[in-house]
Amino acid sequence: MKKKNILIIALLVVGICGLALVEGYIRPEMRRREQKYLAEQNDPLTHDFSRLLEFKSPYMGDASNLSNLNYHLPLGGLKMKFQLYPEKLTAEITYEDSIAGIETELFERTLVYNATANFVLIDNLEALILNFEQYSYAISRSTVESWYGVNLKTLQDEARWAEEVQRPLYDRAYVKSFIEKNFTVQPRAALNMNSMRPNQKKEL
Amino acid sequence: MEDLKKYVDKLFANYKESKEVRELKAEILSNLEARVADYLEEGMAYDEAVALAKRNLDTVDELIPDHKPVYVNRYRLELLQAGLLYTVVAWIFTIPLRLMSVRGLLVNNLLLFAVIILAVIFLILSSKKDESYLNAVAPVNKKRLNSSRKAAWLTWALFIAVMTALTTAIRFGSDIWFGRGVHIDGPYQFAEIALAYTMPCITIILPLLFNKACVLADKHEVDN
Repeated sequence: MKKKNILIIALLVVGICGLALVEGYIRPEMRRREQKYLAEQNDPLTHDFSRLLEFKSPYMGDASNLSNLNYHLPLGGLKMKFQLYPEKLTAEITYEDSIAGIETELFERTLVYNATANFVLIDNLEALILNFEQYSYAISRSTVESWYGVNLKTLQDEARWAEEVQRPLYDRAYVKSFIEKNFTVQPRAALNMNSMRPNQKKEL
Repeated sequence: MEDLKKYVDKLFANYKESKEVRELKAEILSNLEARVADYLEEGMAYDEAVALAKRNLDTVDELIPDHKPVYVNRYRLELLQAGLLYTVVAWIFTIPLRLMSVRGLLVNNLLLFAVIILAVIFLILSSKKDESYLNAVAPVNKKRLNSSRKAAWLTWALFIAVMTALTTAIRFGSDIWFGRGVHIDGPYQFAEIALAYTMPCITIILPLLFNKACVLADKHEVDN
């Protein structure tokens, strides 16, 4: 009896130490890393492209897939509304939350990153319109394809994505140039879906 | 002779009513009555005759097959200690599960709760040191204890088989049905699947306790 009592006390000490280690160090550390990872997902420079691969699809008409893809991209935490135009193979995403708190540099590289991700992962998506509070940004597959000079599907490879899409975004001039050459920008007030021509470029 | 009937009922108070017990009761009562009748014929007073007959038969434990007298409080205390020990071990083993899933957290918390409850009961019972408490004797049906042990292992094996089949159906049912290969993406997913299969095994402490109960019944038998 006594020996077993000593064993029980020893095991209780081990258990309490284990519990303290798990709850006092490991769990907070895991939470901190998770929060860091989640914070990194808001910036294209640190975004984890591999988490998008499960959303690759041949069809833009798969609304739940398209919305899930965009919820996992930077700005994915904002409230969004999706409108699909299957006859034009066009998707329109309206960000309903304000982007006022997001710095311009981050916003611009997010535009580039998100648009490219949508074309790379959704095979038959031909045009994309991203609506924000004040401006609407339209972009087409053909301009993005000629910008990168490759079949966009080849960028599904994680290494190529990091090298050809993610890394250049560190260069502010590159981002500015991408937006100028590929996006059509219109003030929201003047926006009319029928008048949107993704390939026509307008000044920012 | 009502006194003798009450006395016989008292002798059998710890035994469950069964055909065997009823027959034995009737036999003992008729023996006692015959003995009292003899004493009365010898000229003894009634009360004295009844008291003498009772003195000659103060327990029936040895008359009932498979029932053995056991120091019941020592037996219970040591069984409780074994239960506490097994639960502490299960609790320690499941501490890492707190990080894996809500279910793991729940299982570990439940085990911690069980440890606290068992420890408190154990401490209360351990503090009782008086001789009469420690030397209290009660019969234990060893045959039934052994059958219970076998039933406990069988039930546990069945439970594990059902849980394994259920986990397989939930995790891989559609893959098996559609003939798709099973994919495990990484160590975390592997650990999650391994956990789903092994978590029900914690319940092994229950059949182990039945094993311990049999061993302790032998250890605390009065003759030993």
